[in-house]
Amino acid sequence: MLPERIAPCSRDMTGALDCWIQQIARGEKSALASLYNQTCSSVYGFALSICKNVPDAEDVLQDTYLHVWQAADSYRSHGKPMAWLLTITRNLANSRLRDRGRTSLLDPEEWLEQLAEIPGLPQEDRLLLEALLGGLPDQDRQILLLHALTGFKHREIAELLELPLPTVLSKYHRAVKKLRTQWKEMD
Amino acid sequence: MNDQNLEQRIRDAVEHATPDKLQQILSSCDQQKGPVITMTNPKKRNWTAPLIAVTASLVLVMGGVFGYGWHTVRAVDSRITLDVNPSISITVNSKERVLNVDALNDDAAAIIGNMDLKGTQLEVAVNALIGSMMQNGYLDELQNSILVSVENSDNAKALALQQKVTDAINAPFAATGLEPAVLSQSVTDDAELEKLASQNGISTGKAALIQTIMALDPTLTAENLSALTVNDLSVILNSRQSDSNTITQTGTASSKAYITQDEAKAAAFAHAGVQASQVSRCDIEFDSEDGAMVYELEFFVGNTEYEYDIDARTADVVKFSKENRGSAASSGSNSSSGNTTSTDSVGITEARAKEIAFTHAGVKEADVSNLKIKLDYGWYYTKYELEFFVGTKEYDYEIDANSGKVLEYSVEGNSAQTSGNSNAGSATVSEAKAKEIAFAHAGVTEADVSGIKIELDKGWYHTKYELEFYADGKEFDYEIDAVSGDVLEYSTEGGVPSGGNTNSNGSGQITADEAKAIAFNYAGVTESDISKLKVELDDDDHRYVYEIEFNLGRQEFSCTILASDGTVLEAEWDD
Repeated sequence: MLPERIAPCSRDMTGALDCWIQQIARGEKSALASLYNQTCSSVYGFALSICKNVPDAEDVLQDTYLHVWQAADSYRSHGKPMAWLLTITRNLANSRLRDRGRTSLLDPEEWLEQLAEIPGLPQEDRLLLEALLGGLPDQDRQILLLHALTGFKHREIAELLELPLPTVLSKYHRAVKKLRTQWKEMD
Repeated sequence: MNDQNLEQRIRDAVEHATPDKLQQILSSCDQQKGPVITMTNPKKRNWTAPLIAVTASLVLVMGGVFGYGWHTVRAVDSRITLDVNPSISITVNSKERVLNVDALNDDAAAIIGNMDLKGTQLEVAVNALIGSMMQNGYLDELQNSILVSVENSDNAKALALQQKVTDAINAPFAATGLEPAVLSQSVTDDAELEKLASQNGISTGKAALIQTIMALDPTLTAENLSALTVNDLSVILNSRQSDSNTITQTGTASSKAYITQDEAKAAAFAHAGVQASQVSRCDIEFDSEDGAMVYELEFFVGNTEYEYDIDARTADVVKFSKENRGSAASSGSNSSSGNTTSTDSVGITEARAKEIAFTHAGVKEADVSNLKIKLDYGWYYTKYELEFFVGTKEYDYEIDANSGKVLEYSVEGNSAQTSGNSNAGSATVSEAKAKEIAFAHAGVTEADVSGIKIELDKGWYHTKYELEFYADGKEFDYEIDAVSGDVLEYSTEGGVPSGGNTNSNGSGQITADEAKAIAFNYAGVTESDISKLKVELDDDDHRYVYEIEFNLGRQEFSCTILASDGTVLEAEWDD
């Protein structure tokens, strides 16, 4: 049997994501692999910012791409494939939070334990993630992570999170300042 | 650590923490019900030609018969790619029934139209697709070449499929009296081939053909060849007297779309002002230039060697050069080159080229050191190549010596590292221009500005300059689109933006004290109760907002207030 191979897709990132999703709709698993490789960090980081729990974020990561595999044929391109993907992530992560009836931060000790169990994670990364996950309000953290991981503009983040633009702006700036301060303290 | 560095740290940390779930996901896909496989239907067409109508009917019938239960034999056994200019991929199972038909380019989407080819025999699908290409004008007496590429791990089976598909292509041609030229090849999964295909946006089959041609003539480039149709490539392949044993050819590629070799020679001789009788050692062959077919000629008149590219469709002179190969050759004299818009001399002076580069880089000649400049008679452009330093930053520029256009530039040093190409989607706005845009938008002049930092950031959606500078006691942050020059985002801290930076509200906005009063009233505190008060005015192109933060004991209050009317947009207490 031949390995599945994707057709050439656009070199523009949005075009490539669009193209992969359309190929996934036709059953091309290699396109799913391409989509995963390109976007998994953004999806995982966003899931983690909502779930605040490493195992849950990993489950959401997996479920997001399985959902894409099943729902790609319903995707209609409006030039926002990343927003579509992250909307799936957000819905799955919120659903997981609801299922567990858990909306508050974990005990810091649990955090430390979960992050320490991530294999091969450098200490400075672990410290930064601790600061991100333990030291910022939920929305501030989500906004900062979306901005850092996806390159979304504040306007696009506001649209995705259904928040007013000024709110996103102020929360972003506040999150940056707080994290920077915490990072300095840790240094 | 600035915002960009912080965000980069976040990206690194999350990337390192992200688990590799891909194999689990792919395994789970197999256990799930697969996605519904649907044919895209970008364009409806009328099936008027009898040939195609018959084929289409057959396709629909066959699709009905074999549609049921076909999911049980979904394993891909072979992949066949048809390239003309439309490029179509067909996957079949071991019984040579079609699993999927994919359009690999826009032309192919129109060709597939609303045909449902799943479950049909391979020959039926090929017949229908070739018929549709003829109907849509992609195959005719001027363009009659089709490339068939078969991928199957069993070489004997791949060869058998090549023959089967070639026969299936011949069938619809028989009814028209035209003869097709079918190039067929077997391709294997190969990383280099995949890369070549991906980089040039073509099928792996076409990439394999281009590899074969480039092996015969290393002077040809994949970039130029990728833009050509299979008929053009077939003509070039034949002109290189291919004895390739990897490609089988039946029929002859049409050259009716091109002028003859004699016509090309006549055009070159006329342009050079020489008579055919004076010419010796004239070589001519097909080549490609900027995606167009050209005749490449080399000939001598006496000791002078001429090289010409003549457009193979229009007989226009695309490029030419001449060089004295006689006794004076060692001194390199009497050499000239050009294109149809240039002459033996270049259009701009060395001084002008320097001026263009310095302006583009936003530097002054007085600050420049170690300047090197040379005129290069390149194949595409006659250009000035400049290299210079300003402080520890090294600049490299290529300036078109005829038009003065910046062809390429790069900056390396202890500041932002940038590079660009004035034709590409990367940064086309110079660093100097980005600064100019930001200063104008902020209503400040460069003389007012201090502590400027500028970085080129190649983001997900935007390649942008990120600027940070101080003026009038305030800190300004800007993001300027490095392609369009648009102001993407900006913010000001430390006071009310001045000058032309009040596009949304200008006068009429509340003061910082009024904003504080609103915040205190909202939070139910007085200024004497609180500590760590911060008031900042921010904006995002549309409206100004005050961001106010303060502490009350161990609680932190933050709110956002619309500067135009004092509306509290958002407020919250954090423990």
